[in-house]
Amino acid sequence: MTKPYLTKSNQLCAVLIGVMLSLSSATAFAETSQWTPMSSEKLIQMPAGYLDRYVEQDFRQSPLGKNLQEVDGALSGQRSGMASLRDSIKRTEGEQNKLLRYQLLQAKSDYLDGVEEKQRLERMALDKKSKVYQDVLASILKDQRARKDPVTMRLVEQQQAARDRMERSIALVDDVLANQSDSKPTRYSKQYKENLDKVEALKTAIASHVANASPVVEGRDVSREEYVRFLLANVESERALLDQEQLMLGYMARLVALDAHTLEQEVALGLDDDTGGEANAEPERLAEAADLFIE
Amino acid sequence: MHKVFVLILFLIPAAWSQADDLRSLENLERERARLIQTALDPHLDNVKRQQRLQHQARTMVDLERMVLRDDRLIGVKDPMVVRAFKHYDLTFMSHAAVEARLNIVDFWLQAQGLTTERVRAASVGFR
Repeated sequence: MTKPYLTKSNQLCAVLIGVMLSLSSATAFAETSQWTPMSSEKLIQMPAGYLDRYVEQDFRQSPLGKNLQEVDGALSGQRSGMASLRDSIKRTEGEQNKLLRYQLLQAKSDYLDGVEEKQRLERMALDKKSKVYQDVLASILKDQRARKDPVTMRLVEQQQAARDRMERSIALVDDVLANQSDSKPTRYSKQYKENLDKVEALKTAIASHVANASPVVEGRDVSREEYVRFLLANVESERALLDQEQLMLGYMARLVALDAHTLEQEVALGLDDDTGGEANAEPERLAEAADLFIE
Repeated sequence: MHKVFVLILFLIPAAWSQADDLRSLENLERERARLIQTALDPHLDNVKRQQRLQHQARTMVDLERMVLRDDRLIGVKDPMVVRAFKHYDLTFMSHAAVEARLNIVDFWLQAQGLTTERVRAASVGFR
């Protein structure tokens, strides 16, 4: 009688080939996930301490972020499924045991495919995050260079001097205007004075607002530029860890391939105890049949 | 020729995008030109000229304060901005005239080097 797991020998080969292919075929997955991060011009205007949160939130709401969450959720389900399969294997023997081992191998193969997809998406996200922070840093440095430009510096000094000079002469000019016969304060001057106190109060509130505080790294206040460099370093470290995880994935895939190979050999050569009876049966001897001929 | 055309195509949007940022200064320059035009208009009698100048000077005070308080102009290296802040007395005439205790038109003429003595000392002739 043909045993069910024997018919799956070809399928085991397919699992083996699938695992091998999954190691090298990054292009097998469709490029459906996208994330277009906020422009660096927008990000540079945001409070530095919230920069990474804005980027992270933007990423989570993107198709790429949602896809990554889905893949992550699926992997979690697959892992618990594999754990229960492994427990079941320990409790069973014989044909049932082989069937479950085969199922576990398939589950492992699917899990590794999922992990590879997750790593691909994570790498894509990290590349984009890195690009965003590099652009923000470039904008900050460009602004700094522009501010240090001698022509700009001289112009800003002149503008500040002009403002100071005007502030000193405002009272005098207002007096002269008030003494003119048909003089009435203009709408601009009236409303500007009314708004001025409120503007100052708002400025003070902004300066003391928690969102406007300097970003903090390891308990130390840092500049916007330093903070962006810190975020960039974090992205690079995540990328390095991902490289390490990719190595782990390679090893895991190799183990699955070895397991599949072992199971295939067991099935093909019949090394199981149940099937061993038939395989090790004594060959029929002619001397035993000779008695039939003597009578 | 083709390169020049492409360069112009790139420069036109840049010029447009900057135009909005300089609006306060452009308004001031326009009113300043109108004030000088009024001061030099030979068709106006003295009373009318004084009335108009007084009204325009008042507008100039507001416009000058708007420009000086306009943060959008800070550090903008446009030639118009650079020139405006390089010559405070000519750009912010109404404030500078009050500081100098002069009528705004007298102050402008003085800034141009046109004093009564120099006008009287001038002689008619070909340059």
